[in-house]
Amino acid sequence: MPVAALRTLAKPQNGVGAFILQCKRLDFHYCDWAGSSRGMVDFIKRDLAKFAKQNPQIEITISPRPHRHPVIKGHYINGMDKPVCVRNMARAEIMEKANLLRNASGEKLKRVNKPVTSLNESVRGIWSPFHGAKIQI
Amino acid sequence: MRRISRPTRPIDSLLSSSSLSRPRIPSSPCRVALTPCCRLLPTAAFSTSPRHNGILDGKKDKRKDQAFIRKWQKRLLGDSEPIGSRVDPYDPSSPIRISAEELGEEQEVVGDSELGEDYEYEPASTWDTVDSEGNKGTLEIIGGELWQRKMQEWHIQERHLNYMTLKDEAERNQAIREWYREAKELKIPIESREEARRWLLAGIAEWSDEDAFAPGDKMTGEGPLYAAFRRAVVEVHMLSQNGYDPSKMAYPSLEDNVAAIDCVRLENTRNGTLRISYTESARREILRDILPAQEDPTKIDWTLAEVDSAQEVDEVPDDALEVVDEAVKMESSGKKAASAAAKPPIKAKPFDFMSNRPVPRTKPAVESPPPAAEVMETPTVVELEPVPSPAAELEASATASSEAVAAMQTAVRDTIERLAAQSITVQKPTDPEPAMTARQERELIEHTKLRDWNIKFAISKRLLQLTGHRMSDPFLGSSSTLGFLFAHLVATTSYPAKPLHEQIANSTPLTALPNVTIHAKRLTPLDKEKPLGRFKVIEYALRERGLPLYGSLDPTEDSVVKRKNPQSLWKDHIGLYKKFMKQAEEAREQIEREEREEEEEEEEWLRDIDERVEEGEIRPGTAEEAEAVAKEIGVKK
Repeated sequence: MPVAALRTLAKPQNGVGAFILQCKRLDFHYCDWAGSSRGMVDFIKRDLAKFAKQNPQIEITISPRPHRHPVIKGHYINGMDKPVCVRNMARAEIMEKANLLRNASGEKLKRVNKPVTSLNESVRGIWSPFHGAKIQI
Repeated sequence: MRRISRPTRPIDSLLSSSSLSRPRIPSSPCRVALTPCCRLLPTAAFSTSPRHNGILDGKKDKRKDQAFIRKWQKRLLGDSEPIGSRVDPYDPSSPIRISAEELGEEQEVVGDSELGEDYEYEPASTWDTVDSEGNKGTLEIIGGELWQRKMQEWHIQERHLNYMTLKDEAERNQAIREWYREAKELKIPIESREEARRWLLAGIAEWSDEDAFAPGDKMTGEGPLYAAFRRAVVEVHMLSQNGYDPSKMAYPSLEDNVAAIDCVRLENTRNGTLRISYTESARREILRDILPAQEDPTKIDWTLAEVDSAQEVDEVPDDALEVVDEAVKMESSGKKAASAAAKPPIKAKPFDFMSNRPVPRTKPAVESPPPAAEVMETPTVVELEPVPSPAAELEASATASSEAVAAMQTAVRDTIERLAAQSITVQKPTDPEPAMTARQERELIEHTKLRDWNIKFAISKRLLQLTGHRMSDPFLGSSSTLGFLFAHLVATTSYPAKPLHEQIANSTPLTALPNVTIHAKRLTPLDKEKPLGRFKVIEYALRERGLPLYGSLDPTEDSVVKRKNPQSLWKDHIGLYKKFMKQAEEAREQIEREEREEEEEEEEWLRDIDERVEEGEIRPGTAEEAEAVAKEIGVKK
């Protein structure tokens, strides 16, 4: 009898076929009065237009949040949102944070202890005490 | 408790109180014999024990005695409770019963009230504080009569504000007379008409803007601001160079003498000091405007006053250079050629040990003939500008010229030595100078250092007078150059800054992008729900239940007023609330109307019955009949 093929469906992976950016929206909040918003105001005036043009798939909103620290809030496709306070940051630092939020997914931040994260099963199989060299039962 | 006696004092007599007061067991018969007779002797002058005060009579004396004791105890021991003070308060001789007055303690005396002892409060019957006759009314004013009078004066002065607009002498006198009469009516103590005039002017000065130091309308626009700034700088430096203290000047005239100030050229020297070049007539014109009107410019002492050492450090390296350059430049430009003779004579300055200017060690070859010749020629050149002044002025200037020439020769020699050491391009005499635009000039003087606080203050004071803008102290302190000072002036005018959304609203890059939205106001949760379309449903549900759309459940009129932005939050709700309240009121009115109608009907019916009873148609029924009727109807009791 020939070996029957496993019935599997194609597993979709973001990036394999098409790539969909997980970040769908970025809110930029600033304050007209507070000093911690100076960098943010600078960023909005000078860098934001370029960033928005480079990312037409992200919806960008700019709104004041009086008497509060400046915040960038990213909204993701999985429904999560990530706020990042950018108080007292320079223009370049805020750009870094904006890129960070753009590149992130909505998943919670997890520590990865293993060197490889994969959907594929292990090639050599999982270790068992019975199958090894010089094993005599 | 046994009273412990005081130790004996050296001043006491030999037979001291201690030996007498102490109950001792007599050790020897001789002692016993002694004591009784000694007891009778008045001893121990400083003892406060009652025995030796010699007073042991009636109640009153006892109290006095106690008071005396207590007084001395307090003085010597302080206010602490002495031994034996916890005595029976019901005992008439106890120290507690002694009043403060008897003890001799200080007592507070309540001051007499302003109203007097006979004052009795009466509630006012009217609102009038002042009667029609001018007497004090029934309603009291807090603040007292002095304040009241002052307020009356102010009101009167306010009424006579148009005094300054009266051009006719007669009209003005009439105004003063009216004011004097009114003041007299109100019993304001003004003795003469002259005093009345002074009162009136004092009041007007408080109210009117004409005599105000700073103009009411603040200047805007970089162009006019720069013109004002330039003017302030020119005036201040001109005054300081002519030996006047610019910060103490009153600068009375606010009229624009633009022409004279335009003629003044401002430049920056290499070491950051300001160089001002001007013609004699321009200088005279400007100074005449600035200096007090009484002082005749022709009589001003043209000799330079003693300049501060601080200023000298700035100006000494450049003065000589300035003179030479000016001479050269004035020669070159035909319009502005002025005689060096008319320039004020330069004092021979002693060698300044403290300054850092470089002193050349070797004396290079002096190229004196050509420039000296030029310089020599200038005194003979007649002033091109017509001077409408008496001959005395010319004479004075002529005598000064010879001194000036000598001084200039030495100055020229010094500068040429220095010039030889450095490389400077002297302007060719044939080239005419192009007119400098404001922008060019501003760039030139931007880096002029401002080290002298007096000059900085004088400039800021003059700027306040011209523009109405105040330069704050941190700005003044941090401005080290003229450029900074001007930038701060412009910054002061542009405060408060535009909010960001206004600034970027017109910026094409952001607004042109389709994925960017700019909001002018803070986003609320409803601002999220409205674009989603959820708000329609929420609104309907709330209105159905009669609940408020925004804010709390009990929206009274007061809470609406107290909110910061009632319009934005309560816009919809106020309408709804008012509608509901109106409906409720209408319903209430309806009910009242119906009730009233019912009452009226009842009354009418009763009246009707009464009439009929009177007429005899009906007779009032008995109780039994009433019961029967009630049973019939089925009314429960």
